[in-house]
Amino acid sequence: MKKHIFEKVDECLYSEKLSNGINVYLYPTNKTKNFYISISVNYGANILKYKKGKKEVNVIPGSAHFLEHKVMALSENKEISERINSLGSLANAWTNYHGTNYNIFGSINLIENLKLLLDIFYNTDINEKCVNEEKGIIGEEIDMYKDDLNSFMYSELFNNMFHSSYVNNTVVGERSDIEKITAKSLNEIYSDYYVPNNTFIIVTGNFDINEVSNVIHEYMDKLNLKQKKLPKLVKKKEKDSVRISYQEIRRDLNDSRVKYGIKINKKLFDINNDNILRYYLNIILSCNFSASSKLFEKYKNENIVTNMSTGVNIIDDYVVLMISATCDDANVFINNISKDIKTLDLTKNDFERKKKIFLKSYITDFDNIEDIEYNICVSILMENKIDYNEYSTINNMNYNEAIKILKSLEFDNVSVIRTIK
Amino acid sequence: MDYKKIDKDNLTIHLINTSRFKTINVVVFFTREFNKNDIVYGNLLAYNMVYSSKKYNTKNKIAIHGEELYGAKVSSSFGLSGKLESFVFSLDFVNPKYTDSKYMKESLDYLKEVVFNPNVENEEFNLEYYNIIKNDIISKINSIKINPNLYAGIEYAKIMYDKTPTSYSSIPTLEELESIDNKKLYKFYKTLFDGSFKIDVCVLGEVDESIVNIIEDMFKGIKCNNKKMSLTINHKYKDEVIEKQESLHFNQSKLYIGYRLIDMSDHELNHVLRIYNTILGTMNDSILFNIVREENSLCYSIGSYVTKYNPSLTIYAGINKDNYEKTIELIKKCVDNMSDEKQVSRLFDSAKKTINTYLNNYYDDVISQINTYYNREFESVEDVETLRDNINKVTIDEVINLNKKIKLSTIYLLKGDNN
Repeated sequence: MKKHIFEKVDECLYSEKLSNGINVYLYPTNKTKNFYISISVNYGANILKYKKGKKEVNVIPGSAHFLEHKVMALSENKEISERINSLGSLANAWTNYHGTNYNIFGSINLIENLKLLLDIFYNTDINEKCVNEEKGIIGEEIDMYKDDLNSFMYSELFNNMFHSSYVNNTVVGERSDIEKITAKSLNEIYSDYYVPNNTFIIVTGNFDINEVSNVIHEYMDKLNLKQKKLPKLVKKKEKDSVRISYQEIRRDLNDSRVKYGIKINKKLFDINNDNILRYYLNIILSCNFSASSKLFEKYKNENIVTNMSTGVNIIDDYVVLMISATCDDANVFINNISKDIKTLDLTKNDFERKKKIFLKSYITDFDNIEDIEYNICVSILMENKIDYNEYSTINNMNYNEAIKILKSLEFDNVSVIRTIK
Repeated sequence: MDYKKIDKDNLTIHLINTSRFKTINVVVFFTREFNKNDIVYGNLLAYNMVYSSKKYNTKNKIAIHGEELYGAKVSSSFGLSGKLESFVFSLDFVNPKYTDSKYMKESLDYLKEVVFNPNVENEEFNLEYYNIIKNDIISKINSIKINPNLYAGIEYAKIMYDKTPTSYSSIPTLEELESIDNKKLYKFYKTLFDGSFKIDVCVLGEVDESIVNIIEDMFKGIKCNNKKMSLTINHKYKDEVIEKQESLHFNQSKLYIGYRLIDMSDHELNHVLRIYNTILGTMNDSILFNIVREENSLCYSIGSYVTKYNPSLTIYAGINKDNYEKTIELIKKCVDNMSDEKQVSRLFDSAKKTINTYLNNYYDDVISQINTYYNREFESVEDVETLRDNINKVTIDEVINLNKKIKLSTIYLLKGDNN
């Protein structure tokens, strides 16, 4: 196993690539009594069409998430479920646009839990009956997300900003989508993407790395799965423009919620590393819109907003800058932000100060094994690598580069969503 | 981890010295018995005090100062727990060994500035910022009805806990908000230090005892109330079952079912009920999850929780309104199943092990550790290992017999009528 040291905090991660292509990441620590084990696959809701050989497969929106429910189908596998319970462990799973993660959190017998998680992942039985039964549960989950105004506005705005992107659909899909999902469609995806060279295992917590590594080797040897060529992702070319520039949604609210999204082609920035680009853009937005910015003070003092926050999303070849606000009068906010967004600035002092917040987050994220697992998982799903020198990466970000990025920003492609009473 | 309690005349310091975390946390609690008239002050004060201070007299200045201290953060809240209310001011900052030793003192000074030097002139909170905060709270009040879980939880509590402190939300009403001004708020602020409140300061992190002198100095001249207080509410629940339904424009309906707990001993409340609740509604394979979600596909989220200081058990589920009757029937069946030895035995050992895993989490969680020492000021709280031992001694019969002391009290449905 290869030993890596996370700079500044002196924390170790061991990694290994097995002969079948599966990657293993082990973070041992004696600061906890618990452990967190996950197996993740680079298959999420961002894949809507792919090609294997000459065959093109259209994926029904919501399939990645539906598949997650059926792989982690503990109620259909009583034996595994009872074994997990008998160890006092908690099993869970999540799906986002970039991948799917299956995990077990526990404190008794890590090895047994690890084998159980691998059994869940590799012994699926997806049939028509269980798929139909799951539709009621997922339907309720879809309704739950739709009732969350913030999450609903996010998904609507992304849908409005893009012409042919994966964000035109939510991760969970619509009720009408999941009605079309069948056991056959899920099994096909499982067979095409749930392959070792598209999968990785993370173990964090209190354990012996050699013992865990040996168990994974033995399990994989017995399973004897081979590397498999991954299908080719089929994507439509996205346009620079936004699809819909303005949308109102009716809600029984005395104040208004607004999301103001700006779509920018990534080629405008001379940075290949999405993670670093994200850091720079977050600092620029934070310096101009967070509580320490002049604009925030002005907007609060003039009662233009009660709340304002920002976010940076990178979606394929595009960056989406998002400003969310709660305000008394949406028109006043939209008019002001439309003008002020074009006059963003950044001082060297502000830039250096904001870096400290990212450094704090880098250091304190090592306090919790669940956060460590999550950060490793997201790094691999999003960037396909882990930055062991992230402390220096942040520290070495420089003001001139930030100014260059700031000057590259274009604000022609805007989409707004707001509530009306 | 070393724990040391230092009792002073005007405050109690809890020093939890540990190198487990890379942060240092200092939490100041002002506690007294609940008074419903304080809810509005609680909100206004908690927001005002972290929005600006005398020295950092704009939002910008206070935010910039926190960022300069490597993202040191002072947050504030007003909370209700059992019979008590508390104002909580929490400072967290990176252990200075990763930054610079000067940040220890500077971060503590930041907390001191927020707590002791508010943005006040002529015995009034700064009017401009007072009005901004007031608007923020109005927005928070207006947001309740777009958050189905929050709305349903508040309405359910009003019925279930009928005018006891648990029946109140920590969010004030618009009328209450209008009855206060910046002068009255400052008058209330002064009561934090005039002997009306018990004061506890919890410090958790890699610190030496010199911090005790800094904190003592910070609270010099301040008065506190050292009268013994208790968290437990002696609520006399009505015998009849109250059922209420209302509608709002949501896709999903929220169901809350409340059960009152009758004459439970400390052992039953702290140990037996914990296993009962785990089997019924919190573990992977819980009875509610299995029967309502997995066997009948009626919901995505379902579970149960215990309200310890106003003894009750609540079951919640997100359902389709058309499945209301069927869900109620199944939930009642699940509670009945808790008297069935076969059902309970199947999950009993696993529930104990699941609780053991949760208990281990205590060592990884700053908030749990701080709250344990704080709560010990008001009730007898077992240390985590004693709690584990006592839970492990619970028998199946004790869990089954507990069902005789659990009676249905409230059924509340927030009907999502978007269809």
